[in-house]
Amino acid sequence: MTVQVRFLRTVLGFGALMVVTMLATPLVGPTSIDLRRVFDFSIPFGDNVDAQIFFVARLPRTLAGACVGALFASAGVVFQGLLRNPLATPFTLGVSTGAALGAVLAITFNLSFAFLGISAVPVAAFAGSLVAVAIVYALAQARHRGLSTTVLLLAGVTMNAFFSAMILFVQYFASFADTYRTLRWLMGDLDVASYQPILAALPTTAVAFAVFAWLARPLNLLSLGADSAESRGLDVAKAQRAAFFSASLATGAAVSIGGPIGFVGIIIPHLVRLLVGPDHRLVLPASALFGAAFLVACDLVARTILAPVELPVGIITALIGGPFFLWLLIRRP
Amino acid sequence: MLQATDVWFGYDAGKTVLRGVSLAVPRSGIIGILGPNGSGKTTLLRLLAGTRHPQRGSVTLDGAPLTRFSRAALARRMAVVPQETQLAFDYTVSEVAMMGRYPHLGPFEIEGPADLAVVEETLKSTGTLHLKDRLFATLSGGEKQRVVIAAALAQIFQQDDSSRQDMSFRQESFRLKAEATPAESGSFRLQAEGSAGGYLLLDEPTASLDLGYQLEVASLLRQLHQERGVAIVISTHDLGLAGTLCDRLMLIRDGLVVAEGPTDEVLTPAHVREVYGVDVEVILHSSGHRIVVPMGRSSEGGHG
Amino acid sequence: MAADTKALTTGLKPSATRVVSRPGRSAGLRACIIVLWAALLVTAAAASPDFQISTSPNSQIRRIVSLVPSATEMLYAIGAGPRMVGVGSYDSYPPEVKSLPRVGALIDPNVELILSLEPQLVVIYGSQTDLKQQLARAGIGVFEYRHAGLADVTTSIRALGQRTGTGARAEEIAAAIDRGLEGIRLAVRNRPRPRTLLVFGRERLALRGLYASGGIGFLNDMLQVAGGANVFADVKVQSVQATTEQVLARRPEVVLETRALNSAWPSGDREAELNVWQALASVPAVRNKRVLFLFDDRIVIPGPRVVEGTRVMAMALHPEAFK
Repeated sequence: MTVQVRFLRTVLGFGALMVVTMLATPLVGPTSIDLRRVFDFSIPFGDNVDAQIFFVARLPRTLAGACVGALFASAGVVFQGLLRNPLATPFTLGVSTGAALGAVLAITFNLSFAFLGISAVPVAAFAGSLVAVAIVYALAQARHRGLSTTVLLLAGVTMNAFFSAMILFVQYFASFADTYRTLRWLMGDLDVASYQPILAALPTTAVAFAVFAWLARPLNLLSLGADSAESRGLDVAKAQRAAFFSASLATGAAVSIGGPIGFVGIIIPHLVRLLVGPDHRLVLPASALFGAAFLVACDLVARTILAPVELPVGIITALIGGPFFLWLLIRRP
Repeated sequence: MLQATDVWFGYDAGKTVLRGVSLAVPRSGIIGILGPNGSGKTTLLRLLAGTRHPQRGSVTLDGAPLTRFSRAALARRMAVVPQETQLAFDYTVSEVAMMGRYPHLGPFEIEGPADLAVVEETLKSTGTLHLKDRLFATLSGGEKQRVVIAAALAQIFQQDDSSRQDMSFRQESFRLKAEATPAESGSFRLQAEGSAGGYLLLDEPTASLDLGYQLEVASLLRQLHQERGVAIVISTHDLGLAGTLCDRLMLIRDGLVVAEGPTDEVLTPAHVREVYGVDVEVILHSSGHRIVVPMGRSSEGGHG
Repeated sequence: MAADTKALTTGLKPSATRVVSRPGRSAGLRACIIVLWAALLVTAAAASPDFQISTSPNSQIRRIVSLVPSATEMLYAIGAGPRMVGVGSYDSYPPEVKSLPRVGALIDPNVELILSLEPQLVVIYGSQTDLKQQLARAGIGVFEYRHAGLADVTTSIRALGQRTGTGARAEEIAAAIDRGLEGIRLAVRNRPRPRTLLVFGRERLALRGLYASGGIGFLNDMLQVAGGANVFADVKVQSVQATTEQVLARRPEVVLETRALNSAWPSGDREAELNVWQALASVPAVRNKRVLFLFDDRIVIPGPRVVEGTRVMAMALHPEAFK
């Protein structure tokens, strides 16, 4: 079977899964709604509670979940390819911890600016992620002309530790209520309540996905080693830079929409590789599509399983992630 | 002709790895670069392949400096086979071999039937076609090395017509060529087309292989050289392999050339003593193999 | 072995010596008795919330430290104000507390400072078990305060009165609170209760991380007295993270956003914060412009001023009843 055929089958298959999931989830929730009323446009929108719930509460949430899931899953694939390690996650290099620090600062100091219609916390989170990327990259460059993945990993892990310490420091001075809100933010929250955050993230998402598309073959080559890839004609430094920046931006955008939701960036790439093999030209699109479907489904579970109380979606992904890793450990000899 | 002229290179500011090394690799040659660990062999290979550039001196291909070629163009002429290949993910043999076609494809281009045919042919010529759906990681050392060599061959496989538009024409010519060269002893042979010819650079190709695989790879290399006109450069510290396989040798120590020339002239006890500090006897066996017999540590010359 | 047994038997009644001939059994019995005693002690310690090691008579409590803002207000109200020597980080009322040393709060109590103030009574949160142990070891009396329902305000006032020897005054204050609340209940008695969303926290300029009062707790009770119907009355927790869907589905007729004074938004920001609710334009409270900001410590601190706080709430819900 040629790559073209496999590509089509993969994209169609996972695409169908994503579409079905996204069509079905807004229909389900703790409140029962009548689908006919939702699409009954004769009722003024302001009076149509069912339509309100569907279009204002659930649909943006589904879209946000799909966007965030796709970003985390594909960023995970790229980081794993860049660091040549299937255990790498979008959080390995400190981007999400930087974003978390931004969010914690915004929450604790009650920052109240809005930028392009987005409130302080998501903006601060994205800014935090950019700062983290800049610092990690600068550190990695300083030691080595060109980009050594070993140094990158060290720089990332270092900044992870540093930002985490800063978060604890800020939280110490925060009130109990702020600490609690920070904790809840860290568990993930896809209840965006408007289309604005998704629209604001679209440019970054589009750019990231475009770069990912180009990165597919370079990542394949890099899997055999940087020297090997270099001798096959790949501009390794350029590819590594592109991978680092695009995946970090994708992670930053995802974290600023929904918080640092864990496990998506590592479960999905693993599962997808088990299903379609390691060719990044298949793994990247499949992971994006499957990641979207997965997170939307997890969010559905999070908001219905203990209704009327809603669990943070990060708890559901963690509850799935833990046993998943156990299973991975056990099945490998 | 691939030529390195008086090249100097150091990775970090303070340390110079190669000092004024010159090496000529003719299209018809099998060249061996011999030296102890840390002598600069791998670095020289990288300079020859164009993945690094010398700080002083130049490396030219058919007269043109390597810097004038695009990365892809260089990669189509020269392929490097590293000592070991570690995969980060579970690729199959055919996927690994197909990676050799990277410099022949555009950024979003997917490999076509011609590429598949090339890969199949190179796998066959290295005797690994039957492994093509196996996971690379499950192969033995020798099989892995042969697959990587197949990938390298696929990388430097040249067509007369370098444009990729007329696929059907090339497929036809491919088939015709195949028919024109009758099979010998059951193996399918395809001659490399085109006037350019390719260079295969191997870094310690037998270092991590056991004896049987060493012989396999050595004979494969000889066969490739003879049948496909591929120029071969190997860096090794296996004196016997170098002595048997190569027609020209370069002995290098601490980044300096100790001797360079035809094998007979270079692989002498005096030179070996100077480079390795070991007294040897070099015996030409009736089979054509050169055997280097270590007699003992020398009291003069060499370093550890 | 025999010597050990002899040592063990000293102190026991003579009849017990007959058990000596079976040393294993007596050792086991002794162990059981010790374990039972220990269990009894532990249970006694755990059961009584006002467990105190020091037994100084109540009127001899001359120096008091309080980490809890509402308890601080109560202590001043019942006349124990002059005895206060330290207050918590978030205490702000009455104005006298500004001159007192700050000893921390729930997460970061400054034990050294507390000890240095040499109090005889420290009012702490019920969950501060470590602090309680440290104070007990220092022989300092402890009063554990727990935030719960509205009724606990008067209960706590009376209990604090007992501990500080101001029982009579405490009874007056408590009775006045009960009367005040009853008065509000009467004022709104026959009025229809609007469905109310009582928000006490959310992100700035966004309807995310929205926390509202659930069906239990003092905020809910105050809302009840003030004549409102909590939209989350069925959710039996003190704090609910309200999602967009829940707010849309429960359709509050009034939204009350209440914060402490020191968390209040500057007046310039209030319009922007109000506009944020337009995202949920179908909610009756938003449509009818009944989203109200109540930045008032008397509402968020369940202390002696709780009647005034409840009245503020009631006036927001039923303005006509208080003309």
